[in-house]
Amino acid sequence: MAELDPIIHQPVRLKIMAALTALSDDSQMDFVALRNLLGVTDGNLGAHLRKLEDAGYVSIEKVFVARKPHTYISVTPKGREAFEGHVKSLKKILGK
Amino acid sequence: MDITHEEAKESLKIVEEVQRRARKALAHGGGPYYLMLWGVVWFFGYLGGQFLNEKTSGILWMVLVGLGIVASVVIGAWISKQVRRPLHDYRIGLFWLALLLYANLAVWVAKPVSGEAVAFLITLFVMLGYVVMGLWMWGPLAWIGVGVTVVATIGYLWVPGYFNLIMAILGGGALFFSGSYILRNWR
Repeated sequence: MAELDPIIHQPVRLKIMAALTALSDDSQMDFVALRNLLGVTDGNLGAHLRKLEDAGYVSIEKVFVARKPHTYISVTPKGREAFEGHVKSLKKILGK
Repeated sequence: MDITHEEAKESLKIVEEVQRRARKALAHGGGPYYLMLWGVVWFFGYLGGQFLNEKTSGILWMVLVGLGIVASVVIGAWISKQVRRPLHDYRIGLFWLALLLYANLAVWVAKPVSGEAVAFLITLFVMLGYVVMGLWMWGPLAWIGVGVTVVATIGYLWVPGYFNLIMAILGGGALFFSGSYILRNWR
């Protein structure tokens, strides 16, 4: 049986990981851009990001740009590896 | 953790859809948007070169290039607000700045004999930039650079009377439609 990652499998977290892994390595996505892309609320996105951060899959950095607070999120190498493994397992289930 | 065949299919569909939207929204640093923008600038600039007198065409080029630079900065600012990239990505902008400075210096030293010769020389420098970008980051840009260079050379050497028209349609068109194609199909 293929190994699926229960943290990533939740639909919103799956979408978060899919969006972040679409970026090049070391790139960080703005919280608002990610929220708009996924069509979720601030609270919902924040809660799921915390779970992913606790698992070491994403890294969250809060900075000030032109005196305005910005939150940038990036996928960690561990997160990228876990996501790729999860996708591979999904494909295995489908016999791809 | 067990899931059904249908659930796995649905999850993969979600992954593909979100990644497609993310790539389209952020367009890998705005590359396709720049291609489309400069395709439009080239189209109208070269079209002016074909049908207007040299002085008016020169003014039109300056206005178009000025607008193109402003629009490029706006696109760059918009993209960088959404995604922060490693420092080395900013070298791309510096590279283009250096290339344009060298192109202007070359035009000043070579003193080309006609407006077409100036346009051809600048086209060569810009296409060199595309080839370098292609070799460095993203292969298709190199092919676009080589293709437009071939078209420009043929036009300049063999049909100089229609050089500007050729560059407007094939040069500007190649940039615009390659950007638009990438935006629609990039996965």
